[in-house]
Amino acid sequence: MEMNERRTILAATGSYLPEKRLANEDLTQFPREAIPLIGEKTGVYFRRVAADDECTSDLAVRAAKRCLADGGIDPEKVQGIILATSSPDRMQPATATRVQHLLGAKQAFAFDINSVCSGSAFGIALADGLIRSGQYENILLVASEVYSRILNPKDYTTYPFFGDGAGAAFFRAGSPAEGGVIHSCLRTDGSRSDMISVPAGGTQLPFGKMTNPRAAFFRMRGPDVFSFAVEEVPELLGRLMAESGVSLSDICSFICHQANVNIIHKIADLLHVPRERFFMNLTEYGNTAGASVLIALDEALARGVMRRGDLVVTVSFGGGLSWGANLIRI
Amino acid sequence: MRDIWEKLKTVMMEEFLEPDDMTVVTEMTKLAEIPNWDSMAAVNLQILINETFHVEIPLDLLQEGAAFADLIGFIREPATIADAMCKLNGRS
Repeated sequence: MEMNERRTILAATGSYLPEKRLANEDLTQFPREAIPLIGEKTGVYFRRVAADDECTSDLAVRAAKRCLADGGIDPEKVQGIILATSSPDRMQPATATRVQHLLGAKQAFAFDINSVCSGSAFGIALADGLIRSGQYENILLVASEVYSRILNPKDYTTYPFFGDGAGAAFFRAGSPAEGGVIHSCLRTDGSRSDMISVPAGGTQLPFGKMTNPRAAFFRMRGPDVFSFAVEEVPELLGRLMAESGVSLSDICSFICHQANVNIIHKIADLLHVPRERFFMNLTEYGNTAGASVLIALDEALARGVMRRGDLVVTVSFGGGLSWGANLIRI
Repeated sequence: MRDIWEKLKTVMMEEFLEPDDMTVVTEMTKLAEIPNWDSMAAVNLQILINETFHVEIPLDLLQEGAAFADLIGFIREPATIADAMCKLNGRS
């Protein structure tokens, strides 16, 4: 196949959500009168929490196994594994290496990317580039997060938002007639890197030099994040459409990062796209950070929200600040 | 009053505000003037005051128009909270 005819086809998907399900009412560390505000401000009513003996790679492996089973793919045929996570098992090595081992994907290289909540958009673009280059025939993209371990359980501005989970997508080389990834747009603004962060634990602020234990937890300036998302995401989607020669009305479904129901509604309204075309499952799972788009994609396909041949946009935004979108014919 | 303010400022910095945020905050500062203040942050402040001073200030009294001086008053004299709630709800 000529390289310029090569396309990156979405061949299979999978996801895994931990069994433990917490309702807002279960968050007894917060005042009773504050509980209704969680649903109202975020749209989140439940979240899943990893078991004590489950870490990010465990969730990733379960999602990846379901994905490979969905596509009838032999793990030994997988050539590369990209794991998007901002809550890795350890500082090093890459969490993807344990995933590779536990999957039995002996032929695959494996590495992590950390684009925080934008992991899926960046991961899809990366998988697309590796396959389109002609160097690889397939890539398994997995996104997995266990934010319950990096959140301050007493911080009302972060803890109720998030949930744990993992999603996976298997991409293979194919022809334009089969559809596939058409175009991606990626953006970063590092000048706003403090807006969403876990300040301690890296080389900038090692745990040993931490003066406040709070620095080890995830923090987010919620109102600023809201403004960032509703300003940048519509602009990005406009650019994705213009560069692809496609209209917003051609898009069957928008698989958006499940950050907050009010953000998603605002984006839909600003684009004059019916809200129903933005798939949502955050009511049930909360914000699963970098994993949310792949979990939603798997669930939307399973529910028949979209069918083979449909044009779909995946879009995510978060820490970095980073934001990105992919146009895919399913 | 000064002691209460100093303690409140210290725990707020330790628990959920950035040092940069606190440079602009005085006793007369309204909650709405704190960078990134919203109703979610109000809940954190409510928890913090309860844990530090054992005083429960209803969320209705931690809205944007409230100033730290008001909160210090509630902490110093918790009995005034009920009056403030009545006033807020339009009852004498």
